[in-house]
Amino acid sequence: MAITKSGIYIQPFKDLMIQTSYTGGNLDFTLDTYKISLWDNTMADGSGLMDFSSTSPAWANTNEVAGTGWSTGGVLLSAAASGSSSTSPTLAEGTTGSIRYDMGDISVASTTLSTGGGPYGCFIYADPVSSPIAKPILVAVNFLAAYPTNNGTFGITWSGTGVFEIDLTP
Amino acid sequence: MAETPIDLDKMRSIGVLGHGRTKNRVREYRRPDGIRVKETTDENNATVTEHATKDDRVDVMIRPQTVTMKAGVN
Repeated sequence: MAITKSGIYIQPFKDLMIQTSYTGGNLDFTLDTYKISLWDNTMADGSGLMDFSSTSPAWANTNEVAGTGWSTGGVLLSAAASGSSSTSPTLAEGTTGSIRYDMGDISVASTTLSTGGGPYGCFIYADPVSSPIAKPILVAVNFLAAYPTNNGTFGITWSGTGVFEIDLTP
Repeated sequence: MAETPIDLDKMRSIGVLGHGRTKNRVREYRRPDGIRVKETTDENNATVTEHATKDDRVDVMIRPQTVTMKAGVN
């Protein structure tokens, strides 16, 4: 069964709020040294990397989609925008009363991404971090279908309301 | 101005999809260099662009919705 939903990983978010010390740098959603990687449609909700409740959501290359122009492990956010420039992630109030994680659009040229049928979703994860969670995954975004490229540009246009938004004010 | 029964029927039908899914939107054109291009935007609002080049170039542009966590109403 394919993944059916997007989500934010609970443990890294909890660690952020209680200032858990991480080797490789404490969690900071605004860093562009984090990476975006792609997965195919064979992962299932609640299992392995798609378990948002995991206390150790460490990134792994399970069912990863990589290929020409897109390395195994993904692309640094500092080089994932058009012209290999930074996506410049931000964390700020978006919709009134909500925290918004946003960044510039993804645009990586000259890719061939077809393994496993092509990209079905993406992870954003803290690549430099090694402990207590190695490369913790912060957020997973489901594309709802597979989108392979061939010698072409792989792009994601984020919504005007960001990658994710958390409403804190009912 | 009062709406006629036909107008009201039209208004009621706004936003209703006859076959359950939105059809793909297709646009075909030629690049300035003469290469044919086919752009298909699907029900997820993602666009696949196929270029009739020797290397069969295919670009994708995905437009995911924001991952949204909403507080409950109290």
